[in-house]
Amino acid sequence: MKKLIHKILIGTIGLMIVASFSACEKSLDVEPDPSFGLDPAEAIKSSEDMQKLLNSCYDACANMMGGQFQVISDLLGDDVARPLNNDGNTTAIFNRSVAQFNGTSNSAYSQPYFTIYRVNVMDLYYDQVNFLPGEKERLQGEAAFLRALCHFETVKLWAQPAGFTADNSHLGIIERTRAKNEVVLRTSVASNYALIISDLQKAISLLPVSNGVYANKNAAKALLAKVYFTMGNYEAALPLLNEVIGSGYSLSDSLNRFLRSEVESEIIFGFVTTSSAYDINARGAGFKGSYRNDLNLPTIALSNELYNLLSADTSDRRRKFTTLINPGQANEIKASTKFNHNNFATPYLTLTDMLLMRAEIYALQSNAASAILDLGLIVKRAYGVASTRYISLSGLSGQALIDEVRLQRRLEMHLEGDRTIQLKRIGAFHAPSSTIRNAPWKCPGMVLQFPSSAGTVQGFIFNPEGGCN
Amino acid sequence: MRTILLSIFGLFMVMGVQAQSIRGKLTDSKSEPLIGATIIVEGTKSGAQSDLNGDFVINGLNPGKYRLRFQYVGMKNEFKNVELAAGQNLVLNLTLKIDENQLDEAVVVGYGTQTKREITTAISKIGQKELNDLPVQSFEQALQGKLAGVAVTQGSGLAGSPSIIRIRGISSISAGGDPLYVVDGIPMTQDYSTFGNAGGANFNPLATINPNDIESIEVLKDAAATSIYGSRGANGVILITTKRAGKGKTRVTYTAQMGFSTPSAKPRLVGRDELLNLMEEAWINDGNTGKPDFSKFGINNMTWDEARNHNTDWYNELTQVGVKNQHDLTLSKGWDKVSLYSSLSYNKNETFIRGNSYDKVSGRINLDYQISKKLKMQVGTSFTNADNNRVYSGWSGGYGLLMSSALPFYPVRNPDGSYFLFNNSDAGFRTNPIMMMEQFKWVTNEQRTIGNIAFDYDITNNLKARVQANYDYQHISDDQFAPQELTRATGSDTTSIGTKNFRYTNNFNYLAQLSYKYEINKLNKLDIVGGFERQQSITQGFNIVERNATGFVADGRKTDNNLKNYIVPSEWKFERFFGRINFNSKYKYFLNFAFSYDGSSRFGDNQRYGFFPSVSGGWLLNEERFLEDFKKLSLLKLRASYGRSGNSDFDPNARYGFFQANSAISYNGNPTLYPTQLENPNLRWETSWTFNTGLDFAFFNNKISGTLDFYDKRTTDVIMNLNLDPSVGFGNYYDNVGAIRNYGAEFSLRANLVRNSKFTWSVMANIARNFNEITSTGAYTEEAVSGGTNDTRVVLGMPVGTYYLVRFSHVDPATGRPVYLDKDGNQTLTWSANNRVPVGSILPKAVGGFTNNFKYKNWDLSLLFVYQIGGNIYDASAKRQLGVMSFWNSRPEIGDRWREPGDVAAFPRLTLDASTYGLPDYWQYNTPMWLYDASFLRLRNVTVGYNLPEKWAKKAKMSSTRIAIICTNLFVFTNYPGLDPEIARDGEGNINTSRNMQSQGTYYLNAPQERTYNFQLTATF
Repeated sequence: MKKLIHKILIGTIGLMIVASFSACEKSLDVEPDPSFGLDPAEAIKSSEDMQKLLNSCYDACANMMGGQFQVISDLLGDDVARPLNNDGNTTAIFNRSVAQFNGTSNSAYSQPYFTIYRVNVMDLYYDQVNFLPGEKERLQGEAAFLRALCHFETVKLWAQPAGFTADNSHLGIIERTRAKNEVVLRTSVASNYALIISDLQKAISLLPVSNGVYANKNAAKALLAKVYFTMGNYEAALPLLNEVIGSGYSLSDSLNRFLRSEVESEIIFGFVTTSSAYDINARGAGFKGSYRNDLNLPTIALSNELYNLLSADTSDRRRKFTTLINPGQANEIKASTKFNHNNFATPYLTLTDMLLMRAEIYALQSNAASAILDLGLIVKRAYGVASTRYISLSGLSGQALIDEVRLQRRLEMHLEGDRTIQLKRIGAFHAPSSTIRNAPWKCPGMVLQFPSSAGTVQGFIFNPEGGCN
Repeated sequence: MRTILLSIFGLFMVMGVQAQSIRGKLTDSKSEPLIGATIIVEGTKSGAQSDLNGDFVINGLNPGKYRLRFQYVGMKNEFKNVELAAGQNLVLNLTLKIDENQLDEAVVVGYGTQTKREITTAISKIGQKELNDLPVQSFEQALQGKLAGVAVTQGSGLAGSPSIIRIRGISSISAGGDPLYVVDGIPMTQDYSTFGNAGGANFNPLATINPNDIESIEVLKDAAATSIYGSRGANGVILITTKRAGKGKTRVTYTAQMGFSTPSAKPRLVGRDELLNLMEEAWINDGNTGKPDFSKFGINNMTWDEARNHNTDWYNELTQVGVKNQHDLTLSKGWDKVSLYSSLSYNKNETFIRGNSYDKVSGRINLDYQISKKLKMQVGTSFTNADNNRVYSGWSGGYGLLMSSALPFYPVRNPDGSYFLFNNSDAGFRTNPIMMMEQFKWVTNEQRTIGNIAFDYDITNNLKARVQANYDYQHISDDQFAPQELTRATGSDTTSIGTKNFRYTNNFNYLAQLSYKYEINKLNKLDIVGGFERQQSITQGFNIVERNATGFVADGRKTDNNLKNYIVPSEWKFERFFGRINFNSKYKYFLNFAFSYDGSSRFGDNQRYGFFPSVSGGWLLNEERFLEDFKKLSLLKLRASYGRSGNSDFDPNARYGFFQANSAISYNGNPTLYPTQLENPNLRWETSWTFNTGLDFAFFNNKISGTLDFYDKRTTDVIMNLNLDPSVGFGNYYDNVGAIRNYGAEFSLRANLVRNSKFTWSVMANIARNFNEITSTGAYTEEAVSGGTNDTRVVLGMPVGTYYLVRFSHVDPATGRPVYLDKDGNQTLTWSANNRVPVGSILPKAVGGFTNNFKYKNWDLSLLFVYQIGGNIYDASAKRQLGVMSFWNSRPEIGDRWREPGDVAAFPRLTLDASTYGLPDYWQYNTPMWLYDASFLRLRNVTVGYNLPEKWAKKAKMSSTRIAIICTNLFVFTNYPGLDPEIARDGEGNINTSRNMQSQGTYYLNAPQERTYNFQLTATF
């Protein structure tokens, strides 16, 4: 018995010694449970996987543009009143006093970079995956389009606008072009726009003319036109607008811009929705949470100024987007009905937008006839062909025409985050002493502060705060 | 030529034999020969060593006077003056006495033992007597105040509340800061975050170890001691050795302990009428008129007029006198080849909170079997079944509500007998705590077994092999049941809910080691140990939620896969080679080299293995001739060490990158795929290089002895769970980016002040001073690492867990508004997070303890004091109790408040509106107004014992009997106005980060520690 035990023991020692010498890196491998997710090395192996990754970019963009960015932009401007629920974060945005710890703006800031990171991840796999003819170019084009969109939407809110300095050398945002956790600091607005333009030019060259509900060549051109317009580079914007407007889009009679099926003919690019529970919950959540009033009280109401503009002319069909809650009482709320839907899709680039941009460019170039032609399409739809407003357009010129274009833009695209951006553009290029809700258009608080977490890398420069009140 | 030389040599030999000599025999007190003892003739080069019979001979001495020194390991040196005449053969037979400085006491050092004499590193030891001198729920509590440099912060009075142990400060932020616990060779499962901080408490993985089964605990503190544990030793290693039986007759010991639990402090809150007065004052201050509208206070279930109809003492409703009952039975027996130790323990441990108790049954068997002359087997196994009958506490309700929203004018029940529902505006403070306590059933059951089997084989006399396999199995079942009345009242659901959260961890390791003793010559020896170890741990589990349940989820449903929601398993592996070489020269010079070469699955692909070497040395100065004249010096040993160790207690999945394929998250109905976690292939252990130097000393025949150590520990590659710049595209990321320095000194002293046949008085005291500083956050700024909830965080150049608050200047006498200071020190009426600055630290300047033991005849008295000097407590409850008026109760300090223009007051005007205080909301009132000095002196333990006279015991057929009264936490001296200055708050979020950065000093509605009174009977047969 003892001999047997001795043999077993010596055998065990021997085995353990062998085991110790056979110890190697492989023996330490632990495969994480699949429920954690996929190994990056295994996650993307086909063009279908790349398509899924791109789908997630659209999804992230759709969430970001489902009201989150637009509401923040409008809170800075003059289309909404002080938040009704006294929420500290949104009230701080309204007060143009956003600090590093503002949960609402901080949450928004991270959104575009989800998409940007995913687009940059795609760059790592183009050479490792087999594609059908033209598929790779389409994916690259869509990816470039979405990255440009995200950088563009971010620079508009977290930096002073183009034109703030003559050469746009003022600080812009962080540009991310690689899927890597590396220190990248803010660059100039000029640099930001150069990247955005470069991405869009790449998208134009790679995207197909037709691409279903996804970004196509016209979408990239329309966005590039809008970028140039925002930069005050109207000469560059105009030919692109001409191309897009001339591509067969037509204005819809419906004004329900968030019900895509009613306005499909004028959508150049917009986010889509389905009847899935996820889409009903996620799409347009920012709009619904702020403005919707058919189920609960809204948290943000229209400013008196916008309410009056929308409701003053009884012939204006857009008047239907206003309503009064508790009318005549101390707690009266001027609310918007524009977002009283369960399920809606955010339009991003529309013919309306293109026409109004071109109209303003023409008006600024003193080409009143062309401007009125474009503007007339919008006014006719809103007020009717027999309306005084439409008829009197032909008598407009000079600044009056410019003002009318801008007014119609405000009314058409109200609460879509456009108004504040236009006011900043006007301040930067046309009216240096103009104000936005009694504050200089370029006061520091008109620009959102970065989250404290943006300052986690050495050398990051925060925006100045306040100065607007 | 050869013949001539041999003749000359022979002549000398003959001359030698004919010359004078000293010879004799050396024995111990039992007349056993002392083999290898050294005899030195001082002032000459002559000497000898005793042989196998203890005999020695010294030749070659000239006639004259000599002083002889007799040395033997573990024995006191003896000196003899002799005069040797020409031709004399002097005979000297001596008995050496045992050296009471216990230099040859065995100390467990990891993969072996050494004698105290040989120790060259910083190791503290506590024996079973000191470990069991006070009643504790978990063994680590008994270490408090007894070991220099081992800071134990006791948990709250809640059953199963874990303590926080930090050895020589904190050198981690997002990785675990706790030491490595090794039980009989197995690094045990020690996860405090098993169920997060549910119910306001983290889990205590140490509580199932029975303190009565522990023979000794060795705490390895410096890198030379811990480097053999490689990448897991940097926070110190606590080696737990369980009891084993020696040879001899059967020994049975029975210990019974019964006692009571009360809180060590009672909350101080204002009464009903005063609270209503305060509310009315706030109402009027805000410009309101008429009766206060309770809804504006967030009180939605009562009107102002109804408030005076009730006056509930919620303290009495929620507390009790807890009863404690513990019985331990141990049996040990040794035969020729077999020895057995076995124990059985029952412990029912109620706390002072109603419905809260920790009940435990545990047993252990340790068996030693000498299979043959060369082969020995050791087997040990323990089993524990523990039920923690849980209640909500702290932030989650229960006892926490007692100090917040359980207002005195709320009744417990409505007139119809139904529970009164608070319905406060904040959901977290809405539940009647009595209703919760009486209706919500919650038991966390833990079953645990730790077992091992080892074979020792003597290949030769000097070469020994050991193989050992260990297994630690932890099985936790957390059962909860909320009846429908409760779920509806809390708004959590509409039906009754039963939940079962089930976790089990299989943790096993095996090791093979060889040890070799090599005697270079009589005075120079080498001890060599080397081996290989591998460990693997897998945690799995599932959760079950049963709607319309009638009680706990039945065990049978555990097999129903449709109900199970499996948790993501967590698995990790370690493997390593280790080694140690001890060089012992003349029993007074010691040199030690140790290393570990560690690999782990936790480390990134680029960092799979690390090397952790150390070197240390010791010098017994008192054995040198130049100190011979210092007769009062019994011991003087100088030690120094330098080495590297690591910390790899972090999320085993942190290094991986992940993508998620998700069909539920779609775009245009098409599936998505997206990255969810950023990969870090370079993630690795934290590295600490530690220099240590120490002095062990004893005077006056060991009446006074002590140890003094200085250390400097520099930790780099500190793991931080970083808040990434959002533009990266991810929120968080683990990376090795920081550096932390801990340096300080430890001093411990033991003095036998009086020692005679009737009366003894001994004192043990220790103090440890640690300096802590975050010296780098790498390429990241301080913002990258958050700490607690707007109160602590990482600040470069400051200690870990620095309070970061907006400074409060004063109350404006004109308006009664609080005036703050901005970063530049300018006064401002607006509180802004941008103005936060470092104002204090959770870390104390010094901690320690002292014990007085008195013995008179059969009576003994022991007093243990523990203390902390410096550090701060941030009372996050106070900002609500003394801040904006709402549905919280207030504290009496609010009396010193502004009431009218011109008042100079400590607290501002009462208000319901946070903007009056310039705050975004009332939770943000984070200022040093609530920051207090955390110094305290606590009488931790008083024991009065009586040993029955031997004749009485013998009559009862017992070898000894002892009875004792043991009281804990009788009083505490502190300037902290809250409940208890000793805080180990449950961590939240990343529990590691919480425990390192916040838990020790940030108070929020926690229960205080227990004060207990116990009677103990110990009988040995």
